[in-house]
Amino acid sequence: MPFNLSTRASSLFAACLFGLATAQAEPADVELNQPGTLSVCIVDSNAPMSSVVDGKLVGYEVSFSEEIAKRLDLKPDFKFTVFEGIFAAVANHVCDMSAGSHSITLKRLEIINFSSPHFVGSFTILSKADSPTKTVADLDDKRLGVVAASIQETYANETYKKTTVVPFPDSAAMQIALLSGQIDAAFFEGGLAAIYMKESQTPLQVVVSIPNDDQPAGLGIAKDRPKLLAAVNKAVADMIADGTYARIYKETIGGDVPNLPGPDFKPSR
Amino acid sequence: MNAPAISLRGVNVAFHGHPALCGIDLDIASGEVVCIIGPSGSGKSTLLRCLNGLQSTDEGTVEIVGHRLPCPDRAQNALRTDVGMVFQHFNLFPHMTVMDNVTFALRKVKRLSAAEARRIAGERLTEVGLAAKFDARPAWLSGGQQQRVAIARALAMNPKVMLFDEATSALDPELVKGVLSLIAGLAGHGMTMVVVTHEMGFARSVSNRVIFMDAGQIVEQGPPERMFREPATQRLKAFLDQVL
Amino acid sequence: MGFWNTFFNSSYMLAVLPEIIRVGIINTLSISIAATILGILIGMPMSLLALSRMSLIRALARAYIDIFRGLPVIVTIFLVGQGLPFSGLRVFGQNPYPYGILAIGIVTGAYVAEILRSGIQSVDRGQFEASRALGLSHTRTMIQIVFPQGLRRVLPALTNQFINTIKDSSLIFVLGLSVDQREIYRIGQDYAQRTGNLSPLTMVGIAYLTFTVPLTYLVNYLDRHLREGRRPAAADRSGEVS
Repeated sequence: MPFNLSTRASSLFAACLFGLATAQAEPADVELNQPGTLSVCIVDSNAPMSSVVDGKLVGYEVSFSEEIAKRLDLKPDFKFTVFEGIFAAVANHVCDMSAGSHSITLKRLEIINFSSPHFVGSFTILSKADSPTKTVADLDDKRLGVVAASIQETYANETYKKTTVVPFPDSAAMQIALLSGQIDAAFFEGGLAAIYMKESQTPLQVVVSIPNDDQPAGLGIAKDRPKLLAAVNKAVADMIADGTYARIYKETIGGDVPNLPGPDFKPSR
Repeated sequence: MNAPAISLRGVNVAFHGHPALCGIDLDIASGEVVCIIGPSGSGKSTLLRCLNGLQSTDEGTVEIVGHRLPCPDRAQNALRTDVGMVFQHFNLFPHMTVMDNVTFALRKVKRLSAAEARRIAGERLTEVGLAAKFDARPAWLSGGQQQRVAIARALAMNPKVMLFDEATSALDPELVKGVLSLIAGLAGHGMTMVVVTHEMGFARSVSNRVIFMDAGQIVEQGPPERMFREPATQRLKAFLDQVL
Repeated sequence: MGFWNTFFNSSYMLAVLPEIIRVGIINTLSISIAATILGILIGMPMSLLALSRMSLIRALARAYIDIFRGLPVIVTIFLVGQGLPFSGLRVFGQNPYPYGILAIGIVTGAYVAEILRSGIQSVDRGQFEASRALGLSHTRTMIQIVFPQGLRRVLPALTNQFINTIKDSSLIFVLGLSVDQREIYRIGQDYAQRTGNLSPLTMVGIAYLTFTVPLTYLVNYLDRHLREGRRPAAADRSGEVS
């Protein structure tokens, strides 16, 4: 009997210690614009990653960033940015972190640092269902919309040499241009394309869907903020380990939860 | 007896309910020179402007050298080729030369050729003493010179009646005399003229009839000598006491 | 980061210059000039319509002026550039340029109309009366006597408007421009977002200033010349005798 009691007591004691350890706050000396607040640049009209629904800001990036802020004992403060300006915004400390579902690329690494990968997706080209542009081959001599500064833009310029690539400031403007016929097809993020396919009043079709496993997204952090980067990376690792990542993914995007590359991920392009 | 050149019957004009001309009846014979005098606000200019339609009447009619007012805007153009007007502030067109100022209406309204218009304009400008200023811009001329151009411009249209609205009131004193003598010369040539003026000496020596107006009415009228020496009404007496 | 490096990094500024010169300037200027011409063609008659003696015409002109001065230019560009094709009126095909020029021209027209209207109304009424007193019609008087004088008065305000039109041309990118269609701002912005450095935009600013500043001086010179004409020698003016 006494043996069982002490085992119980020691496991209780160990649990308390463990609980204390995980509840311990992150070091308070991360570099921030304003102490106590984590300002986050995000992009608008980018469901299911970040968009405004019924007056509330929702999406994968929103939930993920809120969780990170919680683990760093900070209050999140979201700011909308045009996608193409988001990297400069981080580099110039307009915000502490960017969550624009942007892939980690060599070019972007010249400007800012990225956390370890926190999202992996795909991109999809859509056209109107009644359009003759049905396959990749049909894209020749057509106008393909992309969001300015996105990897879709880089991909389209490199891959579809005979197509006129037309950059737009955001997905909303691009969507309107697709529906009005000013462009023949548009290059969307996978999740957003799925939503448009489901909800668009004008029927749309998928021209091609390209998985993006080798270009995962990371959270953007300025190069001169190593402590913040380290703290965010720890939070990301914890969220993957304890299932928070999977939960957020299922809640905001749904479907199978993809595996993420580890913190030692290095982009090849 | 010839029909009068100008005839007003029952002319009423009011501005925002405030009466400016009250029941004006007036006849002016062909070749007559009439000077209208009176205090500010008496309606002198308003009356003058009714004669060429620049002022529309609320009631009453104006007959002037065969034209009748009120009439539609288009018809007023024809009336105004027979009635010339000279303004207090000259109103020369600043973006044109002196010559162009005078030929403009000749070419556009009377549809004369450029050469013919230039000939007529040249004559009128020479008559007023500005032969050397054909290519000048109005801004380069003195007030007196500008008014001479304005007179030449009006006369070039060969009007049957000339209206002068305080033609010398905006001139420097030393320039007034020259313009007045020019106007007096016109009177001597038999032009029918209606002259609103503050220049009592001119009114006395040049006109056939002087009309005294006050508060929108013709208070008294008659030959200049009688009007100035023996004013019949108290109001005219008071006015003359002030200005002479 | 450093203030100087962020805005005046010379290597970035020089890197963006060739494209600004080769592609951007010609696009910016062609949009601006085309939109300005359209704006003048709309604005001149519109200013006279806004002063029409017929109240219905006056009201319609007023509505046009108020609406297109009141809407943000970017909204008008969207409404015209996307709205027309959307509703089936794809009058210019898929090329965003003509839609953009049309939109900016419509807006410029509203501003020009208002500027000219106020210029016309500032012309002394005596000019109108003297012209009518000579027998000239209302229409001819407005067009040949009043309007030219009104125009001269507002030349500075009109230059200002042209400068605004040049600046508005930078908004055309929302309609989606291909690489060769980019105007100056777009080229600079592409560089800026790729490098995270704002110096390319400083170069963009300098490029805009090289048009807008000399323009101001040119119009001032023209304005003085038009108003005063060739001045005679001083001797001519002496010896006035009334």
